[in-house]
Amino acid sequence: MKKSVGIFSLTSCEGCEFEMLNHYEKFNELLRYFDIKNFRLGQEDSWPGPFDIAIVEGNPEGEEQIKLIKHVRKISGTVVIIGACAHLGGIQSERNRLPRKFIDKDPIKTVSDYIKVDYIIPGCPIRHEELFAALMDIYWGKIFTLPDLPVCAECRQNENVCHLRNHKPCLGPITRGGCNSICINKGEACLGCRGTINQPNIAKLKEALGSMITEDEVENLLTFYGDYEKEHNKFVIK
Amino acid sequence: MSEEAIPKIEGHAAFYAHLRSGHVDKAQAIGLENDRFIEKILFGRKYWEAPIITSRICGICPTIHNMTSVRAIEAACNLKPTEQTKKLRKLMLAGQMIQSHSLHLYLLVLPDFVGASSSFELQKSHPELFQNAIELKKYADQIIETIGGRAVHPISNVPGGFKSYPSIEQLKKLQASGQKILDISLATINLFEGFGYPDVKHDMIESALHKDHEFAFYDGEIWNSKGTIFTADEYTKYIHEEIKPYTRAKFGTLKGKVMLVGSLARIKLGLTSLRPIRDIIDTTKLLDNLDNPFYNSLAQAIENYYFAKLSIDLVDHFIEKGIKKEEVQIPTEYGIGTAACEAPRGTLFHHYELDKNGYIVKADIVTPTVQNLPAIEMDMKNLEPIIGHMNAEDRKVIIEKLIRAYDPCITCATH
Repeated sequence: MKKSVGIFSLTSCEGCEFEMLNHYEKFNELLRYFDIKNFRLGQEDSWPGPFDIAIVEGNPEGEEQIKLIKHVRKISGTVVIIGACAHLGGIQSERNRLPRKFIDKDPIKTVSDYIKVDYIIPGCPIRHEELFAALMDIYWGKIFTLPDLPVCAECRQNENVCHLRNHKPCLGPITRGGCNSICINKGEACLGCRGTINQPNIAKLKEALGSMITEDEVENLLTFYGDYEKEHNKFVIK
Repeated sequence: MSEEAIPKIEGHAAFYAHLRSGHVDKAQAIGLENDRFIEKILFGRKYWEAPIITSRICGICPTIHNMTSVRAIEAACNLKPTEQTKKLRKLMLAGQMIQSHSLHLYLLVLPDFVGASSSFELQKSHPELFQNAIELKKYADQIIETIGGRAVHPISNVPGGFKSYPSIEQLKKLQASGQKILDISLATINLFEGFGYPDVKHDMIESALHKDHEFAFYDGEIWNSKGTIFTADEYTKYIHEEIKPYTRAKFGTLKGKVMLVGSLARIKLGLTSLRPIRDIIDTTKLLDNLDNPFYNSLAQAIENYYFAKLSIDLVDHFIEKGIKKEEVQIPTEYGIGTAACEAPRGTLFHHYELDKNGYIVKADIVTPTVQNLPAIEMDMKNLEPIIGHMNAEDRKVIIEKLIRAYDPCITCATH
């Protein structure tokens, strides 16, 4: 029996949706188990619900989107949010750190500020493997959990040269792994897009970073995809 | 007439067309995306953050934002990329073009022409065509992942060069798909040549990047069908952005006049530089229909073939010559810089002003869809002779088809 799925996009770049479609052969296999009944990007019809699973991308901004997300919660059995925008606010949440007179709008909020969220697939963009594995777990009634290891665990296994040891900034120690340290593999530093691990030692990392870069730059890093310091207790996934 | 979000376009937009006794007296393309204030949030961020943040403007064209941002920061820091870096970037952009065009053509436009309501339905009704789309996209994603580190929001391309390089094995995998991709690209041209398009003619100023002896897309000056030519630095003198009360996306014009950017504009203006594939272009009716917005799809199919060929040549070049692991150049001075690149949908501008410590104090981004929104509205009016006698449902369908032909990227237009 196929489970019904609705895919909803709020305020985002829709990159996570494209990440899903990019690996189409695998997505296609999912269609044996799931019936996509609502997907503005991919199809003409949209079904009013109810849905077994709602996949939500983007953060809710404005009355219409807030109404939509509350409605989605009502008509859906399981709500899975995908991507840093839905989870942490995304890059647009960088406006929260600027003085109000700069951008005269309310601060960016996340989906879980408005509704109860069942599962989070983090990242900017997500890893399609993680989402598809979660969907299959949900289908079979299993509980899907994200790893509670920092990116450093995978980074070390990938035998990368450690940025921090080279006196260069990186948020690996406080960021949730599961991405296979892709950014460090490609020469960049970790910028925290998957949110923090359950008990991040942010104070210690700030101290280490402070010896490498200015205070402004440290603040920039810790507010890249969301406010990791202020909100880290929100990221605790049971 | 329709205020629901138009399906099968990138981002949320609706249209409003008011028909009064057969005459379209009001046409509005209404962007429904929320403004994410990307230009403002860059304030106080370091120069290297710009390409990473602006990549997130769009999920279908992150590569071109990343690229244009990188080039603009390099301009602001007076960094000159090496020849190898430029070639690797051109390969990435070829991938971006194939990726964006093939997704638009097969998944967003094609369903309309074969009576499918979605790409999922297309999969069942026309599995071979659907397979073409999958192959093209897979190849394009592979190029960007190989050179840029990741297909959505690339990682390795930064101001000053590349932070990581592909292996010969990865390049050989790309090389192996080359011929098949070329064949599929040719089949795509034949497919879109075979469709009947509504007969619409418009009169607009086409604008695109220009370089002597080259089909420009990575760098160059900007020229248009009126003969004006200007450098990226001068863009504010020519491209005006206007705020309209009914939409959050701005409207771009060439000093107040309606302009057109994208595949049709690029092919019209750059025809002489496309001599290597002129024989292919001549098998189609494109050149007789360069003023018909619906032919943008065929134009994209032809560009898709051009970039498929270019990608094969570049991959062959790197396998033969090898890739040198060059160090990323670190900036020592910070100033003002602007760059223009051809995104799949048209010319994209990024402009940054940096303070003496490399922090961004001003950012301005003008996207191609912003430059095309007035053209979309004008063409909605040009549809008048065709839609005047139609019923409301048919009118809605054809207006949506028109908007889809433009391939608007609403999330980019609003950023």
